[in-house]
Formats: sequence, structure tokens, C-alpha cells
Amino acid sequence: MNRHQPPCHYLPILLAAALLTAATARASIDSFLQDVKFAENAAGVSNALAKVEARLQRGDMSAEDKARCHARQGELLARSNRRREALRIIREQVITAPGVSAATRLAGVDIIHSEWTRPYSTLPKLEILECALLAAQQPEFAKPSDTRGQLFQRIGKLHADRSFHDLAFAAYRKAAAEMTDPTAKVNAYFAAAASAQRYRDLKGAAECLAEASAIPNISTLLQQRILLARARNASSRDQHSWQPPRELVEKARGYAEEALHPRSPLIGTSEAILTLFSIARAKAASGDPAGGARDAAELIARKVPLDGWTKGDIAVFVADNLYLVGDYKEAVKYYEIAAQTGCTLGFKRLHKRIATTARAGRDYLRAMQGYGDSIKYCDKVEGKDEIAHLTKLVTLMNKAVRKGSSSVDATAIFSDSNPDLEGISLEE
Amino acid sequence: MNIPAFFPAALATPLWHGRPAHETRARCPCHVRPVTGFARAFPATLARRMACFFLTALTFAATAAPLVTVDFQNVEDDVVSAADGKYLLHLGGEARILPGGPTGRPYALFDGTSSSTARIDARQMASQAKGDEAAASFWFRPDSITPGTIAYGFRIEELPSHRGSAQFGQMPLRFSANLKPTDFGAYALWSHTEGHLATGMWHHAAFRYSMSNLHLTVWVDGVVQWNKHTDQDIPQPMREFLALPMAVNFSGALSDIRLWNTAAPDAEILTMDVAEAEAQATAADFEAAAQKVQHAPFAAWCRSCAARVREMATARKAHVRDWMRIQEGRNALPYLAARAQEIAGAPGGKALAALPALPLDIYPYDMWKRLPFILPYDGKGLDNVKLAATPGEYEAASFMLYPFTDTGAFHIVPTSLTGPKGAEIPATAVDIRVVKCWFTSSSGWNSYFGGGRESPTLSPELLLHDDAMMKVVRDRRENHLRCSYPSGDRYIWVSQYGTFESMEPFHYNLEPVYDAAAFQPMPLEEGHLRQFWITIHVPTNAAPGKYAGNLRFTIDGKPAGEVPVDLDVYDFTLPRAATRYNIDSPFYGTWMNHISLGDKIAGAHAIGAGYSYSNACRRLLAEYRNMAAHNMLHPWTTTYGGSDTDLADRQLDLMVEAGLVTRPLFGDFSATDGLWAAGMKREPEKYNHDITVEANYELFQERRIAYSNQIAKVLNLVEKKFGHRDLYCYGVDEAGPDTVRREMPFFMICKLLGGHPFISMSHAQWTSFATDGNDVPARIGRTNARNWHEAGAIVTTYAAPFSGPENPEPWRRKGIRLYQANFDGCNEYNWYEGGHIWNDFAFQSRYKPFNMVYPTADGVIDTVAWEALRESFDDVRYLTLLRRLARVALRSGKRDLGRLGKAAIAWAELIDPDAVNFADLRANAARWILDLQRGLAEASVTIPPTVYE
Repeated sequence: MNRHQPPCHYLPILLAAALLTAATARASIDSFLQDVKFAENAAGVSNALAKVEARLQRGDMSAEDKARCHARQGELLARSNRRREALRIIREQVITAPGVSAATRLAGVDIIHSEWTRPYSTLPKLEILECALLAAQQPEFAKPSDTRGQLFQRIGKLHADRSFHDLAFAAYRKAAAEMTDPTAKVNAYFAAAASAQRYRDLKGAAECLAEASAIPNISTLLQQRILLARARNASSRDQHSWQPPRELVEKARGYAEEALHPRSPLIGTSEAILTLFSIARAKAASGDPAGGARDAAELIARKVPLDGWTKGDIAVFVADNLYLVGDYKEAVKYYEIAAQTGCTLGFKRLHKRIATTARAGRDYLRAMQGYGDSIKYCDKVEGKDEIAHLTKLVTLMNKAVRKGSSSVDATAIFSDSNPDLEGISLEE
Repeated sequence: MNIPAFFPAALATPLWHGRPAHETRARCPCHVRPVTGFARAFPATLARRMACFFLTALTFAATAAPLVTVDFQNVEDDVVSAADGKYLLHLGGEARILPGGPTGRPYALFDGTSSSTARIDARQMASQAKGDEAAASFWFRPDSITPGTIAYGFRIEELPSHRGSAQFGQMPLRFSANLKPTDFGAYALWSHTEGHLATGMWHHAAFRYSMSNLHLTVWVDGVVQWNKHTDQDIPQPMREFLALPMAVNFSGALSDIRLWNTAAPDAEILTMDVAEAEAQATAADFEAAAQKVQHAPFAAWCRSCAARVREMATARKAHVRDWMRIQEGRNALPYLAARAQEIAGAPGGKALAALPALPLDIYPYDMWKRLPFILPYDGKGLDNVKLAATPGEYEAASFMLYPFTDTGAFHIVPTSLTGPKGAEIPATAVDIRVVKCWFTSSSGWNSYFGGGRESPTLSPELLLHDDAMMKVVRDRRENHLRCSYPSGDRYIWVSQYGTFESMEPFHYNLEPVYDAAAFQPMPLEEGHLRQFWITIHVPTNAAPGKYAGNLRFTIDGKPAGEVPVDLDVYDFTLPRAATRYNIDSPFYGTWMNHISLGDKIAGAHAIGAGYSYSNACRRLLAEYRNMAAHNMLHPWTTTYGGSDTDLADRQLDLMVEAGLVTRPLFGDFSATDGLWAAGMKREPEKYNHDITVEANYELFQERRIAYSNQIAKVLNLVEKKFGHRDLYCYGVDEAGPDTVRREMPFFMICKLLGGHPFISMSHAQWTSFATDGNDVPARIGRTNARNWHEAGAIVTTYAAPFSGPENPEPWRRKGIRLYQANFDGCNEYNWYEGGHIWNDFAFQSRYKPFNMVYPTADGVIDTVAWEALRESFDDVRYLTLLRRLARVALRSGKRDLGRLGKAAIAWAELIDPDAVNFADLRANAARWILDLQRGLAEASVTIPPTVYE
């Protein structure tokens, strides 16, 4: 350094050097952690762990870098079956260590969460939650920030995993309020609404979704998804609580129609189909079972991106409502669709329902077949009584078919010309 | 689909198919077989629906004339015939025809022998008895309640041998027709019945069956007994009914038999001709009673009944129910007149002159059901409510009202009670509830098994502030529970019959079921008895002495009389219950698990999830407070065995907040290793069929170490929180001796670390040495208790009975039974449990729901049985205090006091738990306590404070 030069000449050089040093240090820890990743993939967990531990022993790191190394160390320890040690290190050296950035602390929480929710290794959700709550108490999370929002989202997820949906709702809502990224914000609101729905706070859910829709600068797709979520919430019901007024169903339908305009990319997606199914269910509950059935039937009229059981459940819903309005023949058809795809009702009950419906429609042969099919799904030991009962029912059916024509030869009963066989199709 | 898009939704529901089967009065014309041509011509389209509508209208417009009316007018040589020769009815034995039946026509009298019968000539009527439907109505008068057949499926059953035993239905009358014998057995149509069957009184019975709609309706005295689907396909049922004999072993009379071979409408079946003479006689009875009794509301009611029956006589026609309502009143006249006279003559009688009802004082915990249509056998005219209690105690009384008219909003408002030197017990300490009779399974009064699910039977069980919370639809025999959603109240049908899997679940922890916080006005119905429940919680700082207040009645806001309330507050407080054999050892009031935060949040044990931590805490705290108020101070609780230690922590905090006892704790941590003790036995094939320690030594060691670590952790946490390690840990449920033997090494670990293993097993000789407690299934006796105590184990009981039976009697007696048997309390199964807690008719096992209380969104609904158990523990608390004072007296060294103490103990020893009258027990115990206190004070003997702790 030239001593004759005034300080203003070399100060920028000093600053640049300092910045370079800092960047190098950052670059060096980043590249080191990449090396560790490579080592883990190429040489195994224990070699990678040895590398990290050697680096940690060397020291000469900032608190932040040290914490990042410890986070990696904890991750590797967890994978090498030293989970308690790993938990302790992440807790003490990353989450609660002084001078560590919020992002690194959050990464520590994420490591604990991801490592202990792997199938081979479980940690009580409570301990993971405690780590997250411990992080939230650190000074780096004292003020509202995007990272704090993310941490609250993690906390919300943990509460939801423990079925504490009221606490999850509060955490998700806090997260949404603090996040800056519109997509992340909307997703947090979605999660909050889902939690509120679990414990029947439909008003809370509606408020969340309204707040989501008021977020500026969100994509059209996201706007449409919010509308669908609002439609689902408006038509959200369970079997007891709600006989929705028609206006509410119309409101839900309004949201759905706004979201699913002709050029909407959401058309035909499972999200859209399930939303429309929810509206159809609300419609049926509001006193229009025929309308609800018709709407739901349209949803599964063509190929749909749904799993078999969901499709089957929709078919069962259609059939149940057709039964309610007395269209037994159509109802049986939809139950049969469910029988092909499977449904949550289970085959035993499904076939019984087919039989009951066919019987109500005086299709005794189909009813007999339904009861017969149902017997196949009865437990041979536990369901002995049920099998006997169903067998009796089949016999009763048989008698009912024969009833009017006891003097006629049994073979003649099943001929088309027999007037007693009204409504019984021999093809089925 | 066949429903066109333009079709209005309201019309899309067909008139017949959309209606529940029980609401259809006659068969749907498009379902009548054969309908070949019609149905083929009109498929399920608009045209068919419209045709269905018009045919329906036509069916209703036409009245169905009876096929046969047996009026006993033309009798010749024991053969009754119709004027047109339509039928012949053969009378056998000593049957006689006499004039003056209930409708003015003659009646046939039978002497109760098997030869004295009647039978319609079925062969002669074969050609007329066609069709898939049948209906019948007739009048009968039982002259004795002895088993026998009346007519057309109605018969008198054998009376239960014991008045509190099996209650199959509420009266010994049953409709049970076994028709059309087949290889499977006969096709059976049946219904139990409820009502008041009185000898010497004419009753009306009727049924209607439709094979087309597979529907059966049964009436007795115009009240629907069964009105729903049946699965019995009986073609030409009238032929089958005609073949049934009448009046076999029936001692009584039959009159006015009408038969239809169609599903006749209600109005046709339930309309009767009124006999002038009978009506006048009825009116005269009422008028005579009105003149005789000087009780204004009663006299007014009598005159009103007389006027109404005269109107019926003028109209010559009446509805059977209206007629029978009058006749039931007439039958009750002697009873009601006597009670009215009691009130009129009592000092408080005048204050009740404006109440259009008769208040009846009753014993609250009786083994007989208190039903709307049964006059209480022990009822006395109520002119004041008398109670006695100690400071801090809850004490209950009950009364019934026989309303003389339908009223609007009937309300009971308690006043504050004023006592000595201006002391006051606030009105808020007096809680008024109505005892709700709702439908439960017919064996549910006495049994925890689910028998009689198919026969909904009224039972007085729930204690409600708001009668409207549970709507009981008697015509359909259904219960509807009110849920208060933000969008408004909705009634949920909670009495569906069937398996759990076939019905929609009811989420107890989510559904907003609320009772009101205080008694709500409710309507009263003439002749429909209602029971009310008064609970006074005496404040802990209440000064001893006599207090007086009132229960003020209002109807539609206007004063309607009042009843005085007299409360005697004793000059002592009750300690916690202690055992008989050691008066310093606690007498536990314990209920088994399912009462936990975890279950309320995430659901378990068939209890639905609530998904809300704060709601769960709020509800659990309310439940704990209820338990504390009912002397159940040691409920099973979650301890630190699970991974959610924060939940256990919170739950234990809530226990403390509610005033429950936390030493010892009855925890849900296991006293054994489940796999070793029971799991291996269930899967012996995995262990090469040898599950001994020798053959599985390494596994045994592994389980032993794992268990030691777990229980050490739990006990350490308990000690950290409460400073003790007294945790009772439960072994394998209802384990046999083999299993308990396998558990013993783990019991040792539990004991070494400071815990207490307990089991539920009845053989002390095989296991008592290894455990610290046993929960005995039902064997309550001193020998049994001694066997366990000798080995150092406490002994409690469950299943005597399980929770579930609604009858309060066994619960009222339980405390003293356990106490006198030297038991250490109860450890019952279960406070509430069931796939559908509110539904007795939903089943997945042989048991009915195990309910002592019913959970709501902000606590629980108490039951009469639950109140009975509280009282039974209060008995024990009185006796505990008595014995402690007697001990002080005995140790005082003063002869008189010693003698007094001995006498008090001798009295307590002689209490027979199975026969004691509880009012006597309580009064005498209080008297002994006061005598002892007085004696000790006079002799200047200090009573240590521990006596009252």
C-alpha cells in the first residue's frame, strides 16, 4: 500500500477486498456443502459425515456457516441412524445457536421435519413441533418477515398433522399475512381454509378465501383456483349440519362458473370435478335430489382424471339420489358403475344397495343377484348370521316372483309372456 | 336418466316413492300387483307420475268399507252371523253375548278357559278374503291380566315376575301374529305396546298390514305402537288372520270387530260410534268427582271432561284416541281425586289453585319407569318440596305433573331461599330440569345388552333444561336431537335402526349439541304426565339452619301458583368418601377411559374426532367439573405413556382445575407389556407354539427392558408434576389367570418403580399377591374384598352393571352396597361410549351404548342414573363422617361418648344395602352425626379437622 496516497484512494480497494473475502467465504461454504452432497452420493453417508465433522473441527467459520455445517451434520447423523444425536445438534447448534440467520434456522426445522417423517424413522410430532416453536422464539423471528411466514406455515402443518386444526388455522393465517410471494400466500390461505373446514368453521374459511382473493397481482389461474375453493367452501357440508338454502348453492355455482369459463385451464381437472361434485351434493341436500344427481352424473359421463373409488363414490351418490326420486332402474345402473370401479361403500353394502333398489323397482331377479353378490363379500365366520339372513332374503325374492303363479310350472315363470314378470329383465 | 331437465324439482319426486313408507296411508296404485298393462303402457315418465297422482287422489276419496263388521247382533246356537250372511262366527265353551259394549252394541264375554273361544268360519269367507292387505279393529276388556290370546294377533303376555325386571314394552299386551307357516317358520308380524292396560276398562286395538308397501301399523287405544316397514311378504293376509283363533285363555270381553281386506285409512279404523249410555255414565262419573273434591283445577277438569264426552254423545261419532283419553281420565279418577284432595287439604294447597295440573310428589330413583301414561303408584299430592343437605352438597327432589289441560309455555322459576339471620341461598343454586322420556331399546331399562333394539320403548332418562332439545315423535317412535348450527337449529334423527355401517355417523365432538343453561318454558299436554327434577347445590359457606323459598309456576308468563321449598342445612360438612374397613382410606369414584383430550381431538374408541384443541380443552374441563360435582374424583386419565406428553400435561392440569384428585392417579399407562402378556398368546404360530420364557428368553429380556424404560419415564414425569409416583396402571383387560401370570414380571417392574398394577379379574387366590388393585366384574361381597385386601390389593368393581341401563335403582344402591361389602369404590366401564352415543338402535355388537351421561358441545347431559350414583356416594360420605366422629368419641375415654360412638357404628353396621330406605338412611345418619357432634362438644372433646377432610 502506498503510504503517500491519501486514504480515500485505497479505501475502495479495502472495501472491495473485504467484500471479496466475504463472498469467497460464502462461496467456499456453499461449495463445501456441495462437495459434501457429492461425497454423500458417491462415497456414502459416513464419508460425507466425516468430511463435515472435519470441517467443523477446523473451525474458522462464521456463526452462520457453522450453523449450516451443523445442519448438514445433523441431517447426515439422522441418516446414519444416530437420530437423537442429530436432533440435539440441530436443536442446539442451528435452531437456538446465537447469530444464525432466520433462513438457516428454518432450514434446521425443515431437516428435522423431513428426516423424522420418513417412513423408517419417526419422531413424535410433538418434538418436531417443539423445535419449530423454539425457532419461532429466536430474535431473528421477532419481526414479521417472509421467513417468519414460512416458519408459521410449517407450524400450521405440524398442528394440522396432530389434528389440532384450530391452532393450525391460526398459524396458517398468520403465515399468509406475513408472506410476500402471492402464490405462497394463497397456498397458506388454502391451508388455513382447509383446517377451518375440518372443525366446521366455515365462516373462518370463507374469510380466509376472501382475503386470498383480495391479494393483488396473482395469476389468473390462481384466481380461478380461489374461486373454486370459495365454491367448495360455500357448498361444504357434512351429513348432518346443513340443509343449504338454494341461494347458497347458487352462490357456489356462481363461483364455479366464474372460475370455469370456457377457456379456463381448470376445466376437466380433478379439482374442478370435485368442486362441481360438492355443489351437486349441496344441491341434492337443498331439496333437489334429481338435480343433484343429474349434475353429478354429467361429471362422470366421460373419462375423468379421478381414481376409481372417487368415481365410484360419485356414481353411488347419483344412484342414491335416483333411488330417492324413485328412478330405481337408473339407480341400479349407477350402482353397477360403482361396482366396476370400487367405492368407499364397500362391495358388500354396494351389492345390498343394488338389491334393495332393484327390489323397490320390482326387479326381483336383479335383487336376488344383488343379495347373492353381497353374500360373496360377507365374512365367512363373523358374517355367518348375515349370510343366513341374506340367503333368506334371496329365498323370499324367489317366493315373491313365484307368488302369483304358484300353479304354473317353474320354468314358465321366467318367460317373457308371464304378466307377473312386469319390470323384470331377464338380460340383467 | 328419465327425469327431463325442464321438469320442476318439486314435482320430480313422485308422490308415493318420495315419501317414507311409514307415511303412506295406502298402497301406491302403480305398485299394486298385477299392474302389467298399466305399468307397461306408462313407463316412469311424467304421464305415469301424473296417473299415480290421480289414482292416489281417487284412493283417498273413497272410504274403504269393512269386509266384515261383527256386531254380535244375530246370535243363534252359539253362532254369530251377519244380517247378509257374509260371515259366521262360532262361539265355544262358556262364551256369552251381553248387551252394552263400548259402542252400544252387544259384546261377547269369555271366561278365560281354552274352550271359551270364538272363531270366524274362514272357509266360508275364503272367496272374500282376497288382496294383499288386511286391517282389523276391535274393542276388548281384560277382566284379569293373565296370559292369553285376545284376537287377531293381540295377546296378553305373562307379567314379569319382578316389577323391575325385563320391560319388554311397557304393558303386557303384544301384537304377535305368526302367519303362513313355511319351512323357515311362520311369517311373523309383531309389535310391543305401550300404554296403560287396565282391567275392567274397554280398550281399542287395531292393525293394518300391506304386503304391497311392506308396511305395518299397530294401534292400541288410538296410539300408534308400530308404524313402519316390515320385511314379511304375506300374500292374502286376511285369509291367514281369519284362521287365527280368538279369545283363547282370555278372561274378558270382545266387541265391535271390524275387518278390512284393504289397507283402510286411519280415519276409518280409528273412528268409533259413541254409545249414549256409556257417554252419560262417563259424564256422570266426572261430575260426581267434581262435586266431591274441593280442588278447583281438578273440578274444572272434571267438568270439562263431562262436557266433552257429552259433545261426543251428541255427535255420535268420535276418534278413538279422544274417547280413550277421556276414559283413561275416568279410570284415573279415584287416584287423581285422592291426590287432589290431599293438596286441597294441605296448608300450601291454596297457592296451587291457579295451576291447571296436579303436582305429585314421588321418589326420584325408583325402579319403576316414570312414564307419561302411568300414574305414579307412590305419588302423593305435592304441597311442598322438602330437602336436607350439608353445605357444599348437591341434593335432588322430583315431582310429576298431571296436566288438566293443554297449556302454552309452562315455566318453573325458583326463588332464593332465606334462612337463619337473613342468610340466603341464591336462586341460581336451585336447578330445575325436566326428565325427558325418550325412545331407547326395550330391554335398556335394566340391561346393558342391546336386546329389543327393534322395539323403541319410552324411558325416563335425560335431565334437560330445554325439553325441546330432544324431540320425541311418538307416532313414529323416533328421537330427533337438536343441533344448533350457525345457520339455525336442525333436528337430527338419532334413532335409526340398523348397523353402524349402514348409517351416517354422528360426530359427537363436532356436532353443536347444546342444552340451555337454565330451565326453559315448555308446553304441557292434558293427561300426559311430566316429571321434573330439582337439584339444590348448597353453597359451601351456607349457614346451618332452616331455609325457605318457592318454586313459582307460570303459564305463558302469567302466575300459576307456587310450591314452597324447605331446605334444612346441617351443621356439618361432608368429607370425601372413605372405605368402611379403613375410614382413612379413600373410597374411589373412578370411571374408565375415553375421557381424554387426545380422543376429543383426533377421535378414538368409536368417538369421532373434533379437530380442535381449544374446543377439546373446554369440553374436557366441563366434563371434569361434572364428575367432581358427582363425587367421581378419580377418573382414568391420560398419563405420559403416549408420545403427546403435552396433551397429558394439559389434561392433568384440567383435572386440577376442576377439583379432581391427582393422588393416586388412575392412568391409562399399561401395567404390562402387551405383546408378551397377550399378543404372543394370540399368535402362537409365530413363536413356534412355545411362548414360554425359556423358549423366548431374548425376546422376554428385550420386552422387559423396553417396558422398564417406558414406565420409568412415565413415573418420573408424574413425580415431576405432582411429587408422587402413585399411578395405577392397568394390565390386560379382563385377563384370565394364564394371562395375569404372564403379566407378573412386568407388574414387579411397575411396583419396583413405584407404580401400582391393577387388573380386572375375579380370582384373588391366583393373582392378588402380584397386584395392587383389582376391578371385580360384579361380585360384590365381603369375602371377595377380604381376599384381595389380605394380599394388599384394593378392590373396586365394574359391570354391576356396566353403564347403559337407564334404571337408577342399581346406581342409587351401588354406593352402600360397595361400602358395606368393604370395597374400595367403583371403577366403572364407561362414562360414555358407543359408535352412535345418542342412538340405542344402531348396533355393531351385542351391547347398547355404554352411557352414564351424553356428551354435548359444552359438557354433558346428566341422566337420572348419574344423579343416583352421586347420591349413593353421598351416603358413603355421611357414613364416613359418622364413623370418624364415632372414632373420636370412642377414643375420648369418656364412657357416655364411647357408648354413643358404639351405638352409631352399630346402627351403620346394620344397614342392609339391598333393603334400606334411603330417606331413612340419610335422616338417621344425619341424626347420629349431630348427636355425636353435640356429645363431643358438651364433653369438650376437640374434633380434629381431619375428620372433615
